[in-house]
Amino acid sequence: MLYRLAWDGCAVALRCDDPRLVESVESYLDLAAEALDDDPAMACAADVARNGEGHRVRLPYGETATASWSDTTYLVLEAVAYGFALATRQLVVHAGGFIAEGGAVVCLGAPKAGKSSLSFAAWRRGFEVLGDDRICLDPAAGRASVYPKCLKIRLDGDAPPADMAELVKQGNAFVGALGDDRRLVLSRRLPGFAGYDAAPPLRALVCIERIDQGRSRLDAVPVVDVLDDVLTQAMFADRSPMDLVRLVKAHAPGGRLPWLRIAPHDSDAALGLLHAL
Amino acid sequence: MMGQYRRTAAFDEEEFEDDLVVMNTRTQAVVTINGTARVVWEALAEGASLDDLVALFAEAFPDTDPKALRRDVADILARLEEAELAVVADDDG
Repeated sequence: MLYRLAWDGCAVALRCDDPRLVESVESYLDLAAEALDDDPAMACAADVARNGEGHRVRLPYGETATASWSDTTYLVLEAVAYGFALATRQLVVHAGGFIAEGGAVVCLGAPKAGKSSLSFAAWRRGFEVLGDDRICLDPAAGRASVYPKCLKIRLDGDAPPADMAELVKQGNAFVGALGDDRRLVLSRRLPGFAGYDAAPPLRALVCIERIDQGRSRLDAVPVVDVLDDVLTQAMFADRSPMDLVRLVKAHAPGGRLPWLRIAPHDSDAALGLLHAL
Repeated sequence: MMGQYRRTAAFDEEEFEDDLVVMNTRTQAVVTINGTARVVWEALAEGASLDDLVALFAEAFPDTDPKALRRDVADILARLEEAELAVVADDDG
């Protein structure tokens, strides 16, 4: 069966013979999947077929077999997000973000910089979360918005945090893995996740970095020292990189961006430091 | 190369205090320039040869070793050429 998932004027196709899996994707992304007449020529973000306990998943860049429903869901959610990255006309940055006092705090960082941990801490603290890995930015309007990806927290072991077990039982979270990357995935339908129509004004742009020891701290860094990294992590679609450069400049008083260094297991304290902004 | 250099027509720039962020609008390559490189960039608005630029800096910094100065300016020009922000006059499409 062929399905179409639409977001913000673009669409991704998904072929899947497991209706329960499609329902999960709809639920976790909070997007409706429209059933279509099958078209063998349609390029799909993923082509999923049941295979014992797991699935055979064909992606544009290869094929893999998954051993469990959870791992399949994780993979398909990633594939759909990737499909939207190719289709969107929006400026998308590699960042987490949440809404504080009506404005978006967007935290730019490389993989493993602490974006997900910080976004999870914000969600638990009661902030409305835009995302933990990709955020859409509108430079002309100076606003941020949601990108269709679920918040995913790296797990040290197999089990989710004890206080998340109830969410897993309710079907609003699951533990999935891609290779060695094991994560707790939260549904965007959960309270505390901003909807796709949220477009808060940008309040702060923060660079984040994980440190191995010491305490979390908030400093400032010259924009030009991090600009290359920021630009490298962005997907511009039809936008000019200078749009992002100017947006960054507008949120860098004195030419410096806030720079949050996150110590091990210290995301809550690091989040507290952002109150200064 | 002894030719006249000038800026490409296809650029966009934004100032950050003492730094200038410049983008080639055709390739979308972005570079950050400051100090000497910024002076070179601004001189290329009117067009200049390597000799012109070296003379400009020699006048401003008379105590600087002339060979080192020439090498530094040549490196800056090479970097701007690599980003297609500086072109030899009449080469810009």
